[in-house]
Amino acid sequence: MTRLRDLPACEWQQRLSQDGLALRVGPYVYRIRSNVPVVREGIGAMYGDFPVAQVDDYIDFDIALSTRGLRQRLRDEAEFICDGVTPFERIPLGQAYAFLEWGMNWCVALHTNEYLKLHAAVVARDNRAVVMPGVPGAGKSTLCAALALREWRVLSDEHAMIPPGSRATVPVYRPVSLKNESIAKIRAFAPEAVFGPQSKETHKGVVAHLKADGAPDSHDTAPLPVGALVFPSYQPGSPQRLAPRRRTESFMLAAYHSFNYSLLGEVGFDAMRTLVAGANCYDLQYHDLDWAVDAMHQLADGGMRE
Amino acid sequence: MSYLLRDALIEPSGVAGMDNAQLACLVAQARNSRLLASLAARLAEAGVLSQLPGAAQRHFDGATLVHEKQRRDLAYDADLVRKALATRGIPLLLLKGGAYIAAELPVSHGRLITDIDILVPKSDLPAAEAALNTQGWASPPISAYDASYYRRWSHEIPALHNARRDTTLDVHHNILPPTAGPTIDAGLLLRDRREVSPGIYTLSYRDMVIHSATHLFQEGEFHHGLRDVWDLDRMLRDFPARDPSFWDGLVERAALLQLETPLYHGLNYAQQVFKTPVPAEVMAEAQSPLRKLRKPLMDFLYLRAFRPDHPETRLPLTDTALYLLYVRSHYLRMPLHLLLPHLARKAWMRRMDQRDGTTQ
Amino acid sequence: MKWRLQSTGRIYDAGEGQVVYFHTASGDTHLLGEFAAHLLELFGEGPRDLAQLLDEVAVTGDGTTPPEDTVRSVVDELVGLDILGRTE
Repeated sequence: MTRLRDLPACEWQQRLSQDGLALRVGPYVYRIRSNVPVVREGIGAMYGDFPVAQVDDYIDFDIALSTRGLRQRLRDEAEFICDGVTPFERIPLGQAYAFLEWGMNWCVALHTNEYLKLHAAVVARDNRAVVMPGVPGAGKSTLCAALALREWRVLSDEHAMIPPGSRATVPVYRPVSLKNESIAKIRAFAPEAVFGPQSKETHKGVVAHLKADGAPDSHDTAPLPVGALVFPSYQPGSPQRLAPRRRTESFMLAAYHSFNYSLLGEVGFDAMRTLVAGANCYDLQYHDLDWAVDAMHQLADGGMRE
Repeated sequence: MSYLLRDALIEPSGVAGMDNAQLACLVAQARNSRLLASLAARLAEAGVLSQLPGAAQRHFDGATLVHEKQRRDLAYDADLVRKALATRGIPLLLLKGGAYIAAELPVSHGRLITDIDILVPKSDLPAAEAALNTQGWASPPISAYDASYYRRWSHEIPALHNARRDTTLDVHHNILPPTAGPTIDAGLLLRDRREVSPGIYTLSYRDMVIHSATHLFQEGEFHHGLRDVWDLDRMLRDFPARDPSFWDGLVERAALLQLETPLYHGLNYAQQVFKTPVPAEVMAEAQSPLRKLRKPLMDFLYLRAFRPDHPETRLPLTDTALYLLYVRSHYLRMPLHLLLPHLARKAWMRRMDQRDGTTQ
Repeated sequence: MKWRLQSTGRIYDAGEGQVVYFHTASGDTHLLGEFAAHLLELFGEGPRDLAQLLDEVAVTGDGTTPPEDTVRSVVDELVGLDILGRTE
């Protein structure tokens, strides 16, 4: 298997600027084109360990983040293109890399339904996965990043992909997206952490991505059994706790945070039931990252369903 | 690779021999044309879908799931609407995609819908709106200008949204706005309606075709252009078998409704794009000398609009063609003195919106 | 007045004093209390009126019959969710 870093820089950069650079991301292949320097820089920093797709692989998402035409060039703008169409407004170049990452999430969120997709970070220890659903701001990405820096494997910071009828999750690793104060928090937590380009003034504020595929099996594609569902909430000033929560409420909350639970109808209900019934469910209320990481270690040591 | 989608819809067996690059291109074209689930249905019926590589199949299956979800929701929502209207003695007449699905016609196989469109007698509009309001279908607040625009110049009331169901209902009292030129007697359409399940109606077969053609050529929704021509093809292949006299009265019916021109264009482009069999005498009957004269220009415009929105398939000048069609359709809908202030006002409102956006 | 189930439904009961209910017709999912779930089970056997329900919850319950108001309010809630409807 060829990884991006196995290719000479001039070769992959040429692909990126011309016919497209095809990378494997979990079960999918993205072909990415870009003429924006910060995107090239970000891909070099974040995607070095990603497998390069074969020439005749099926391209699931043909995307570009490029500056097109004189007008965009003069205004320092770029646009996201998926299969030849531009679903969104133009964006300032300073946001280009964050927008590429966001657009890649959008592809999976919108165009795939073979899995029950939860909006969740997914991490694993000893080949057992923990699914952490949560709204933006609940602290799931920050915790996910911290765990990656303490030898957990990150399966995704955005999508838990559950094959209906199983209690497993399919890895779809991509760099972990951090916002605003989380960036400094993770830098302080692990000074050796590798970040991509920092994008300024997106609608989410400042965004930067963490390279979180340090685990040797980060790009394996085999599904992992889900041992626990953990619902994180970042709450400064409140007592920290990891406590069991009811499965029925976990079901409702996970369904609420799903991209396609409702779309799948009865299949979605069955898939969620299988998942929730097969995993232990917890609330994780935290404000100190070291404490939260310790709590997750304890969970891995005996709080997960076999 | 230019026109994979059309070829695949006409002859699905050819898809079995495609390589991954062609398949990915086909999926993209179909997705951008809102035809991915329709193509999936077509491939499944031809026994081709299961032969495709899993990586491609899952995209078709994903679109099929969206279609199935819409079908389930439509069944439920249409029933809510039916019950609400029934309290005022108003029958539920579905239009377009909702009608195809409710009537379980082949044209509905994989058909994606966005809103539910219904036709209500104009005199029943206030009662219908009131009845729907009580069931949670409400119009979101719109500006006084937009409200008066709808009331005076449109053939529908502002869309009603049901917050609990998250579905949108478009209530029409006619199939064309009163300003569009031909004044259609909606009573004719309502009189010929067909009951497809207890209390749920659609237009007659002929009127469905005429409406579909009218919608395609008058409404300006050209990003759905190919999808709408596909609808016409499916119906024109299906209806003659259901009603042996279908072709005989079609042009006459369009003439009665003053919709011969859109019908002619609909038949013409279905034939040109999807090789839809249309009897020569029907075509001749529909084609007036004037329309023949304008045909080269119309072909230039429409055959571009009907291509999937995809770089592999766009012909040169596609943007120009789409732009012209947009203006043309507005022009057809409204006399010029109404058109200009309306567009100007829309442009101004957009600028205001953008300015509001930047000051936040 | 009698009520009946409007459509089929699916229940996930983890023994937690509440259940997840999937309403097939609307595709909606609800979190229902144990008592509401119990009523749905009864309606699974056929349409019922208030008197019948009061009888049955007295027979199958744990002896503390919920007052008429409780039954009525739960039924109303289920009607509001379109899970139950009046027989026509």
